[in-house]
Amino acid sequence: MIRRPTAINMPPPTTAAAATSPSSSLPTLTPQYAIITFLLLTSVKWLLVPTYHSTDFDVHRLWLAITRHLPISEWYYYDANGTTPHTLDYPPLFAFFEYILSNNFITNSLVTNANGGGSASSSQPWLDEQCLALLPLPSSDTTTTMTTSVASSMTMEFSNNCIRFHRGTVIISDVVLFLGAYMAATSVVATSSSSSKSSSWIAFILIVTNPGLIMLDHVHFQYNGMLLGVLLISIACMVRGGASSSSRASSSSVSPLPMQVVWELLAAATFAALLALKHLYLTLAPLYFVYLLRRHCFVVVSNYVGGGKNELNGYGNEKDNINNNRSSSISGDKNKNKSDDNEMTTMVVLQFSWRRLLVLGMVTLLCFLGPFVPFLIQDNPAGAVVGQIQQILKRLFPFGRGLVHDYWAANVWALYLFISRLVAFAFQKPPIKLILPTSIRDVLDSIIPFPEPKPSLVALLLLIGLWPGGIHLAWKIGSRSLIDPFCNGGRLFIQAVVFCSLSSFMLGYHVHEKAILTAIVPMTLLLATNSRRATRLYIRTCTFGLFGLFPLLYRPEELLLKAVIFIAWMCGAVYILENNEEERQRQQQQQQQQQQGVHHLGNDKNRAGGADHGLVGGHQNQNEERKKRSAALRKVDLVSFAILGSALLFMEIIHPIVLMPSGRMEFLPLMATSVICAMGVAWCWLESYSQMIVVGDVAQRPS
Amino acid sequence: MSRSRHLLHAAIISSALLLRILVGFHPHSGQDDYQGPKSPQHEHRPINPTKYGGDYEAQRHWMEITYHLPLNEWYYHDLEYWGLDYPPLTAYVSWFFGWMAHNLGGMTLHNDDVSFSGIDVRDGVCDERNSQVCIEKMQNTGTGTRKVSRGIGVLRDLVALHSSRWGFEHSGGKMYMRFTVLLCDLIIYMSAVWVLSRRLAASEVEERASSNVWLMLTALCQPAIILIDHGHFQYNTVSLGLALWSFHYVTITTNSAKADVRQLSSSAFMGPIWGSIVFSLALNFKQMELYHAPAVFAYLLGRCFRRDTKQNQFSMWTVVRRFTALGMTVILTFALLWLPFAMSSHSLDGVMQIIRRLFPFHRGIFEGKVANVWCALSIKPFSIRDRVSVNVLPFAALGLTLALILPPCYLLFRVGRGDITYRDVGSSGDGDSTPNQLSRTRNSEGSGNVDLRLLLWGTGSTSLAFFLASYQVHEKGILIPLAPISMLMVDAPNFVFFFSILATWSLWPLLVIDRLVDAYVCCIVIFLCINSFARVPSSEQLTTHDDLDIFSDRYITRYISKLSWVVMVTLHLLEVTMIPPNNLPDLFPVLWSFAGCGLFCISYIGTLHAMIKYCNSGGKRSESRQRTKMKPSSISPVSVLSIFLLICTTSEGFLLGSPFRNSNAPIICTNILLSSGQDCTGDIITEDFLSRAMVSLEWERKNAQEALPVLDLSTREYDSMSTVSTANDTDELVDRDVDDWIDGHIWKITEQHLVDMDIVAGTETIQAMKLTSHQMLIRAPQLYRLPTSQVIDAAHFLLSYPSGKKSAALIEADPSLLTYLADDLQYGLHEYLPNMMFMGNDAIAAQTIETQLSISPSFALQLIRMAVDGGMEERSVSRALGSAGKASGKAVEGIVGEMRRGLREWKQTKGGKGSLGR
Repeated sequence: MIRRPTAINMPPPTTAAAATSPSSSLPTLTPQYAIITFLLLTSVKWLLVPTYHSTDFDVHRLWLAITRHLPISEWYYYDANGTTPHTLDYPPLFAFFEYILSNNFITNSLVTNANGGGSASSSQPWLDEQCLALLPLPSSDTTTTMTTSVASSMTMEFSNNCIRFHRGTVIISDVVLFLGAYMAATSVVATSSSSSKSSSWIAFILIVTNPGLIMLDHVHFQYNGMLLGVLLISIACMVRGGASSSSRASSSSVSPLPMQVVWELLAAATFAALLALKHLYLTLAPLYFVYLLRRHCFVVVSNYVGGGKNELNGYGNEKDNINNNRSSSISGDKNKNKSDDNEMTTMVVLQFSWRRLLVLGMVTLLCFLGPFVPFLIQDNPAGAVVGQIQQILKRLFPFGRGLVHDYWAANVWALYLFISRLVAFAFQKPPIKLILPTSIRDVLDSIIPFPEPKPSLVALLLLIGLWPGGIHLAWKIGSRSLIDPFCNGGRLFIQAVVFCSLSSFMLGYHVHEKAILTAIVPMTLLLATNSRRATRLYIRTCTFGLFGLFPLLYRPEELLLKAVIFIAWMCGAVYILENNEEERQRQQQQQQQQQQGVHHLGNDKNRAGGADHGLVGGHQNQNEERKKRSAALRKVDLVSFAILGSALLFMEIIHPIVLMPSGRMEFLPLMATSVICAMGVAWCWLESYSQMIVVGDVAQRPS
Repeated sequence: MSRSRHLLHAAIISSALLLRILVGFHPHSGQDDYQGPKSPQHEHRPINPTKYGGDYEAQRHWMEITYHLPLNEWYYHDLEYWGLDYPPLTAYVSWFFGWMAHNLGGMTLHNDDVSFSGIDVRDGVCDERNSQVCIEKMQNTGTGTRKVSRGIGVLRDLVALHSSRWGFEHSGGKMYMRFTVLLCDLIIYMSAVWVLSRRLAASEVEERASSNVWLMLTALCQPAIILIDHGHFQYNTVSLGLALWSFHYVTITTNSAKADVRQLSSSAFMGPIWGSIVFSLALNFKQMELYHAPAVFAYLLGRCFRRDTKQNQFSMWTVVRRFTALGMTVILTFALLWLPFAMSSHSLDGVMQIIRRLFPFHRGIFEGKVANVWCALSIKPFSIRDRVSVNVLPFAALGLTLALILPPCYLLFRVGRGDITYRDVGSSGDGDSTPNQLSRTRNSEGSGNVDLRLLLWGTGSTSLAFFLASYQVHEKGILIPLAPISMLMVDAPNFVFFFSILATWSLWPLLVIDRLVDAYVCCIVIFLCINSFARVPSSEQLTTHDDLDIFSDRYITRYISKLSWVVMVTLHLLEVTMIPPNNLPDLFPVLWSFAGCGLFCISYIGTLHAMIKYCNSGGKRSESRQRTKMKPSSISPVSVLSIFLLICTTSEGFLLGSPFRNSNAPIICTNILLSSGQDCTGDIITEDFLSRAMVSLEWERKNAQEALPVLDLSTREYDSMSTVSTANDTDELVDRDVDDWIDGHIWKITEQHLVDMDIVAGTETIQAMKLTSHQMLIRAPQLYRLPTSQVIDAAHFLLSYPSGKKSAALIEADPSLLTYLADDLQYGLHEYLPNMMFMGNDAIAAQTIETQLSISPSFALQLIRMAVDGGMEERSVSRALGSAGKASGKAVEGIVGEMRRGLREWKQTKGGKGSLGR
């Protein structure tokens, strides 16, 4: 490791606040930089306006038209027969979001104003009326397959200004993403003792530049950025809430903790709003529920210090609200104390508070059900078969679309189907079939191809998948963060969010490939904790998850775009992360040198850091080993990059030229992509699980 | 460490690629044969009958002809339709890409004979005659039943001979074309930037690591280069990249410590030899690389005189040997490239033809509205084109250019000779060089790097000089100085930043025509953001040698750059909010070129300043004197302001310029105004127009004056000159019968007659080179009210004037001639003009007018105007005299005396200007 001598002679940072050395190449996150980044990315997004847009463009355009022209009562009834796949099928709050987009002052003036264009003679509005009109849509029998999407996008041509307008709404709504990323990044860093200031910048920049989001929102056309922004805001509130208890003085436990309560209520409220925006985030609901139930609705009543000395103190306090209390007690160490001082051991009694549950429930339900109210008070439109609520539910949960999408999302079901196909294919070949005895052949005949699992079975599996992260761990970290001031509940919570989103992606019914972003975006926040394992996991998940998005942009025109955006972002991300890691280790080393030189006082800090991010603080290792471990990429990552590169080469260049003209193996590129990515994501899923177990252990065991 | 460096460079380069790809999604020049927004404030651009599209079509066409035709036809084939006019290397590269497209397209043919390809086989060749049909056919085949996006066979059609013309704009073809540019850019330009940036901001020294990053980003994200190459569509990066590579090679010097090992001075001179080869290649790709040539030549000449080692005796022989080696290299490279053309035509005509194609002197001193001196000087108050003869202008251009390139060339000669001391600060300021350090700095900061910096400044300076002052400059020529200057981010960040934005800004009129408004704004904002990031406090290592930077905070000139921001933004805002007055339709392009010229002149001074400072400091740049801290506020409020203003501007600009605008926009209405029927008439017949139409003409004023009594003897007290009646009286004359013409029925009849006479373009046939009635009215509003018979008489006369043949050249040149009385015209042109200038020879006069009309219409018009006005004056004077003679005999003498005096005084007052003045 080459280092300039001046760097060594630098005065080592003494406090945690001065952790960033002046020579750090990464800035800290300030609003100013966030704004400049916003401008930069906005212009990049605006450059993307003429690129390909999918049928989702038509969908959202129609929704804008519906909310613009129809009364509220008919929103969910438009085209009730289902001749088009474009009808409103997001929850009510999203409908109101579209309503705001289509009925604000700017839109109105764009559609009607006569002086647009600056020339007096122009009486044409900037935005043609057709852009927001309820057009008779081309009725296609099948759902949105790739081929029909081509057909419908060809039949429906909109003016360029119309495309600009709709793209513009996506770009503007991305403000929420920036806000969420900013809040989440700053709060994660602010509450974590181990992360340096530049980590917030890293997390922020990697979230907002995520190529998956850019490809999905600004090429393919969706509003994921806004939705994830809301999720990030919710997480940020949760992290703040998780941190505000750790800074409290442990003695005055009974007094309400206003900051914590407010933050957690805010988190619950934003999450409820998110559910009302897009119901696919329902899979995170158990996690939120359990965590908040434990963390928010239980109050630390008392600390029992020592072996039964002050037992009665707690009950004395409890008598205030004795009617509705149940209590449980968990013991835990206080970190700072030496282990041999038994009398300093703290006993914490947690007490269930109905009042808090009531408030929490009311806030949540208000945010979630509020948007439904306008529909409830409406009369059913003429000719409606079912009531409003049933109609909405029918739209929201269209079972019968099948287990998987046309393009298999890279999850367990893709692997399942792939194996099924493989077995069926192998079974049809004569030699195998002839060798097998008839009895086995009959059995095989009955199960091949494998039966498609029912939605209820899938739901059960999903619940099982969610159990370790969403319910088990959530309960544990809820309790742990209450009693241990050095346990960062927020960081563990993010870990759980990541795992739950991955689980729901892997096991869900009819999952879209873009759902992987729900896992990737919160995972970015874990980078701010400077854990090497988290870094590696992040890079791997991004590699496979984002590669799985490629078939969404199937036109050859976008081939270079998606490849280059992926490469550019990957290189940039890996560089930033490695650089940050090096920087951090250098600082650590300096710190150690200084500590060794002066005194052996640094143990406390090391222990705190070790508990926080699960690192071995440890010895002064050799530089070589340190460097090898610090590398964000391992050989296996390079191999997977090579595999993905050749897969891309095959499906975008070799396959269309060699195989496509003869019409053979048309399914091959898509299947290969989803199977490769499914294996990769499954690997990440398991690794995320193992990391979570470690984290859970840290949470459970007193350190 | 090095791996992460490489990752960073990969990230930067791929981000730059991404930006280029993104711009590539936007329209290219002449897409759908769009030639600019058709609104009144822009010049009317007739749809070109001989060509389709723009530079994109040209490049595609070259691929087509170079691939399909034998080499000796390349520079001869159908020159009307985008004939090849770049040097041979361009032709070879076109051939290569044509070959590649043809073979790639053929890859699917063998097993898929019904692929998209093969229109020419089935539908026959489409040529100019049935081009419309052919295009329709192509579109039908292209977007109809077949899945277009799949077929790679489209590439074969892209370069199919003849059938691909007239708008073969398949998206696959566009993709391929864009890809070729991208490939060239990556291989040649980006690699050059990478190499140079490693030399200019050595990445080994950690201090400079971040400046290296920003240097690369600045050079690679130059909005102007990206917009022209990847938006407008050209291959500038090839020649620019080759030039940068040659600068790299040319300035390689062997270190004095190493010279012991390499005794031979010839081997030390290998760098320049390689460099001259590469530079010859650049010259052979685009002749505009000549802008760099003087600087390179001066530097190399200096290098011939350099004493390389202490041991070697410096002798004239060495100089001659080096010079010969360089000359031979250049000549051989050229010969190699031009040989096939010389061989194929059995004579030197092939070569001559190429040269004729390369230097089209007949095109005029500048093209369009370019921001150089000549264009700026041809604006009204100066109107240099009217004052200086056409034949003199090239020499003036040559002289001025020489004068401007002389100082940088002289400095570069000194640099090349080695007059600048080579104690460049190698590694972070410490002077004493241990052997270890020396070997480290040899690659990073050798003496060659001073040369490189100065060469970059010098080439920037000379090419700016060419851009400003030379003959036949194109707007896109600004890229040539931009490429070297953008590599100097480390030396003078403020100046480079300023110049980059300025160069982009000066391309705005071109980009509007290309419908790249969105891309323009986005690229500029991205560049601004990158620049803001480059100035964050944590990377304050970005040392600024503030004495080099003319816009640095040390100098008072920093206000110039701030002021220029205001100018640029204001002009943008003005263009959006203001409609130029009818008589100045080109107001904004002219303002653009005028302001641009001024700012480019300042930039030229800036480059010169930097070179002089550099040389004076003897190469020892005061590196240690870093600026204390670039305050965060130096993400300057001005630039933030300009960002917002630009955004505002463009959000309006979209409304106006609207690159993808539907063609049914009502603005077009005014263009085919009046000829298309009644609907549009209201648009032009505004109050303003009517009042302009009401202004009385010169002869009307005279007639009115003569209608009054010439002499009113009862008003003897008045000065005799006051008998010339005032304009108020005549205005009343016109006003009196205003009702007759105000509804336009007179003009309707007149227009009909003019259409019949084939002067005005009819409704259906909007032909080029023919005035629409709208234009005619704009330029001569009085036609709207003049009686039909009078206009028709004038038109008949003018149609037959110069040569007796029927040609409407005069009327096209100046429709306001129609407002004169035919009688006056006849007298002026057939009597007065020959009498005054051609000794009474009518034929010679007419011939002169005719020739001038083809060479310099403005001069011809001036002659005609002079003749007609002079004739009118003469006749009015004589009439006055005659009527005076008829007056009562008693007053005759006094009257005549008075008239003579009046005439004398008139001659004295008017004589200064001569009868030339109008």
